[in-house]
Amino acid sequence: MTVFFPPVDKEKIALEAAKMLLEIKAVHFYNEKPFFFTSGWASPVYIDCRKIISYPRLRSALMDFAAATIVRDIGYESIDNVAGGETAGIPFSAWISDRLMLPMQYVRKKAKGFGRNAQIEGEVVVGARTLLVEDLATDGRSKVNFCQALRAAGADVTHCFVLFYYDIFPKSGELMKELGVNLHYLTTWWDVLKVAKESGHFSPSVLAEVESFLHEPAKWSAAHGGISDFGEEKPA
Amino acid sequence: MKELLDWLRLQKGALLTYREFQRRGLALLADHPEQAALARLLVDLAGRFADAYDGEPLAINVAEQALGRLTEFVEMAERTKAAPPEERLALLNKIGAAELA
Repeated sequence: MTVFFPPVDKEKIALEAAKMLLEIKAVHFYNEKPFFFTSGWASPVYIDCRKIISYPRLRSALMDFAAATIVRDIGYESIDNVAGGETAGIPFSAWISDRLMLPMQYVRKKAKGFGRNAQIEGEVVVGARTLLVEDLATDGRSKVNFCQALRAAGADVTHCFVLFYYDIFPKSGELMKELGVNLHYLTTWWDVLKVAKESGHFSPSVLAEVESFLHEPAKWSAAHGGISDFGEEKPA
Repeated sequence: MKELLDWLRLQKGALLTYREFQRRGLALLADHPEQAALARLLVDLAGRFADAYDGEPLAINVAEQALGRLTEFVEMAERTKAAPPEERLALLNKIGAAELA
């Protein structure tokens, strides 16, 4: 088996991946019916990366992009393990670990049983340089639990790969920095917006509303009942 | 229970609220064994809702409705703290049979 990941331009990957997500209708704009993310941001946009698993040609191309991005940004021999975050990260980590010919684990959201490996399935080698894989990153908070569990089990976690990064929320970069993790991704909302505008996906009014959210997510969220900062509560 | 209610009234109702509610409810259960059944049922109720929407978009109207229901149950729990046993049992059964969405 020959494994070769030709260097592919970052921007080309970003736009091609965005095009793929639009093609399979993984991108949803709900400008009349906003919703909450787990951490409390109100949003008119939602992306369902789990749909990717049902499209073998498209997902295979995305996994090639993923492998090319990982070796380009991290290196060919700088990772020992790939760990998927439950649930959506698991299939992608399986395909990526296969591409990179690396062992795989997955991390549970909650511990099952007791002991330092209670949240991890698969063999953890102490000190192994481990790449955490998830489907997407919104504000990055969900990565904290997975990183802590992997580190508690002895893994060395300094990199996280996602297919899609929101790239809009304030302090998400700071959070990843505090966590000591470098985030790698294929595409962002800005790429999706660019492709959607060029390809005529969605009406101009929907795209204008989405753009206003993307430029000022905290303001948009607060105006629609959500938080405008990390950890915010209702005013007393 | 009053402390839990005061905290809940300040929340906006995203999934993180329900996860934190579970954590606080379990602490209440440990600290106040006389309210253990009530705390356990409330924790389970919040947990079922959080599990159902884990990784899914939570529409704001659904979130508001769920937060309203949960707050109502905690208010009832606080009100019936010194109520006769049959009234407290009726509330336990009500929460045991409820869903937030």
